[in-house]
Amino acid sequence: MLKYFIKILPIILSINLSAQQQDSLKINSDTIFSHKHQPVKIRFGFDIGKYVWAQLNDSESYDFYVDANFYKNYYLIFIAGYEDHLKESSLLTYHTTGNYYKIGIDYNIYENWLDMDNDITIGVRYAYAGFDYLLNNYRINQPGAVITPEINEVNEYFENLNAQWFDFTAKIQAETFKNVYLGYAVSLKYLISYSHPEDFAVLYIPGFFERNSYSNFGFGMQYFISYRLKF
Amino acid sequence: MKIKKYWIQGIITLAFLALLITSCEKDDSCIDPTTPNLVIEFYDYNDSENLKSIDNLNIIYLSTGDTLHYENTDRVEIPLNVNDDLCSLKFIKDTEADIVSFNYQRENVFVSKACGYKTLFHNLSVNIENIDYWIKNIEIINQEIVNDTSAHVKIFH
Repeated sequence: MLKYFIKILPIILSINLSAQQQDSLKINSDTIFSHKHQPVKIRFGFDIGKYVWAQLNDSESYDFYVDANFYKNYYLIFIAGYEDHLKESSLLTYHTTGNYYKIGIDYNIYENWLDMDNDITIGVRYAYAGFDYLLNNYRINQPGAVITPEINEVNEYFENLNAQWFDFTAKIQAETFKNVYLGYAVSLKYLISYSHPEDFAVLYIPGFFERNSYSNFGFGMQYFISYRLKF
Repeated sequence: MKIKKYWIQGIITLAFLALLITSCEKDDSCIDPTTPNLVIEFYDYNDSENLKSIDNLNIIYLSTGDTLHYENTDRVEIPLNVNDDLCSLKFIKDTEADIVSFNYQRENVFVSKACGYKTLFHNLSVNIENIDYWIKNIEIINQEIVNDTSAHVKIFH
């Protein structure tokens, strides 16, 4: 997983750097508008809803994002996350462990008054996840069983699985304290590819959530907290 | 607050579409076949092509004492023991009892997210040391129990 992060990171950093240059050129022509001089806005965020929900469910979830306002109302956003998700049911118990990365562009449709800095954005992201499953145990599905099927402890690994999808997200963020924002987002996701492990199936994807066996669509909600840096 | 009207309309349409798509999706429920049952048909020993039904049949699992009861039937479907490679059953016709033990090799196969795993049974064999009473002969037609559409075993009486 580390190699993917290392490959993507330089690309993101270089995009951010070139965006800054564009912004400083634009400042002169922007004085026609009533906007104040806009410093480059970079924001860091953390999905607090997912973190808390995971902690309450014997799981771990860390979801961070960085976004930068590179041109007028456009933001470039980069999201990275790690999940160790436990799913327990009467038929299967397994852990999903993996990372995911998303890159996308958001557009702010909200025009702030004066000093306010809130957004309502809509955006598109491309996402990639790499993950493993650890199947802890299963119980055979035998309808009408007379001798109750026992739990089989197998602890079997299914490794190096991946999935790719598109996220269409609408997000609302409000500045609560100085430079601290609270936000809420809803996403419609569409899977474009995923692995086919032998003797198993892709059930849960970090960053995507549960996968419906008969559909490539998914839905998500996030509650996040973010902090803005000004340069 | 200024948001161009078409953005709001666009978002509402998108949200409505999202709701529509996700709620109209086929439910992730178990529709695939799961663990098959052993299918036994009862035939006339003196006229081996014909089925001969039993009025009062009780089948007892020797390991647990659980009983299945059937009336006036020439075909039964029995869930086998998925925890072991052996299932010993006592077949009681009216008052007479015969013990039959089935041996097999289990294979656990993943079906789907909603269905989980199922067991298939291979190399079915039968131990007929204790059929002294009403069962005259037992014949295995299919050693592979992978579905329960047709009979795997014939019992002649």
